[in-house]
Amino acid sequence: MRKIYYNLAGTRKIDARAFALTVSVILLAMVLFNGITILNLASQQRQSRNEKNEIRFSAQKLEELEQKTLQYQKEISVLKKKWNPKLTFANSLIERKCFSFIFRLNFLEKVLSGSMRIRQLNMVNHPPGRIQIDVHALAQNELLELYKKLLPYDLVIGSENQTTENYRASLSFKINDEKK
Amino acid sequence: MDLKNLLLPERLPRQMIYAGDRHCELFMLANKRIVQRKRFAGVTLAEPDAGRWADMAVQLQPLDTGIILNSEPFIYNVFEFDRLPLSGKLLQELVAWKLQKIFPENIEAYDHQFFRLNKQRILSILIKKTLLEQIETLFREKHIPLIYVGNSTLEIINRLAKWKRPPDFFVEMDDASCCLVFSNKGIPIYIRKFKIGSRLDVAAEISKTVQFVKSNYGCDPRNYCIINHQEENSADDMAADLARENLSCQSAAFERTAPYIPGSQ
Repeated sequence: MRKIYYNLAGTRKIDARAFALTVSVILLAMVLFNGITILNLASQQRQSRNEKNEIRFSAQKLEELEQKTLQYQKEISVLKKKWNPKLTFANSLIERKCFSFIFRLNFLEKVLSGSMRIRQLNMVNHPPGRIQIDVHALAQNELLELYKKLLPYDLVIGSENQTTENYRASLSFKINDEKK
Repeated sequence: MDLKNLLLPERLPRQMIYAGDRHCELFMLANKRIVQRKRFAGVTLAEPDAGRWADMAVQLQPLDTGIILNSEPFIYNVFEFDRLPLSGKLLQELVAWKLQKIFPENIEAYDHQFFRLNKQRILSILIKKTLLEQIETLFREKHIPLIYVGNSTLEIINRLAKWKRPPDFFVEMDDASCCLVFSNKGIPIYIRKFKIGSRLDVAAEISKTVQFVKSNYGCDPRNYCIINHQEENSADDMAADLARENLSCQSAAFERTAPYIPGSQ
């Protein structure tokens, strides 16, 4: 039960000592509380300052990196300018050599019979270019057999001669780019 | 009220007067101890002209003085509610309404104060304003600063509330009146005042009241304290009478002390 304060006197006096003690305790508590608050605020501010420093440091690093990136980009663009004609040239070469010589030679080896001889071969370094060959055959039927094989390849017979020893023919045909 | 007392604690006077039914007792306090105690028979503050107030007034020092009135001029009520409102204004209205139901006289003529005992009980206390004015005038005339007017019963209740095992009730006996305060775990539940007759009559009245409390408040009062303001009769005889009713007295803690004087040990 709480203490019952009962005083009916018209004039009362405050206990100065107790009042001073109470006020001191309250003031002390306030000072303590404010002190704790200030400490907390200071600690928070310190933490905030540290974080700000870290952020500033990171921002500086980022800026440095951005500058480096810009520098590299500039260097790359200079290099690009320097290398672009070479690159264009190399690319054009690559573009031009987009077919296989070996494939064409293999094709010729397949279609020619064993007794036939190629005396001359002209090949254009261009995919849709025609292939010109001069061939010698021991028999005419061998040539005819070759014509049959080359007919699907847009065969044009330039000339055909007969000598005492063999039959000669000058032919041109076109092989589609095997890559396509 | 508590906050006010905490922030603005009142000074207790060094000179205290207990105002009994037919006597006054003067106490001088120093360092929470009674250093001087003097009884003035035949002095009544209610009737200063008829008594020996002037004889006692001469003995008073011009110090801050306090008066502890005995239970006689007070009217006590313990009100029980299902639940007390937290709002002070609502509580005041509730107590005033309850008091008006049981109090036939004009409440305006009385100083009424009430105290929250627990979540359900309220102690209401009334005293005539004219008596207070009369006492104030008496001291003003003598140029003695009166800074405390208290009540002995409430002082004893406060004192017993500090005990680990407070008694089930206490008996405050004065020259012509007696006050019984029954409590449960230190919280007053029933207060009764009656005029004193013979010692046996008083014992019988106490016994009857114990039975009443037993049957109406669901508790079995066994232990009690006697605070005796009488000079002639000893409390031991009364205790012996009540022992026959299986009531045990534990007044030893109050021996040679005055629990009704605030600020005294």
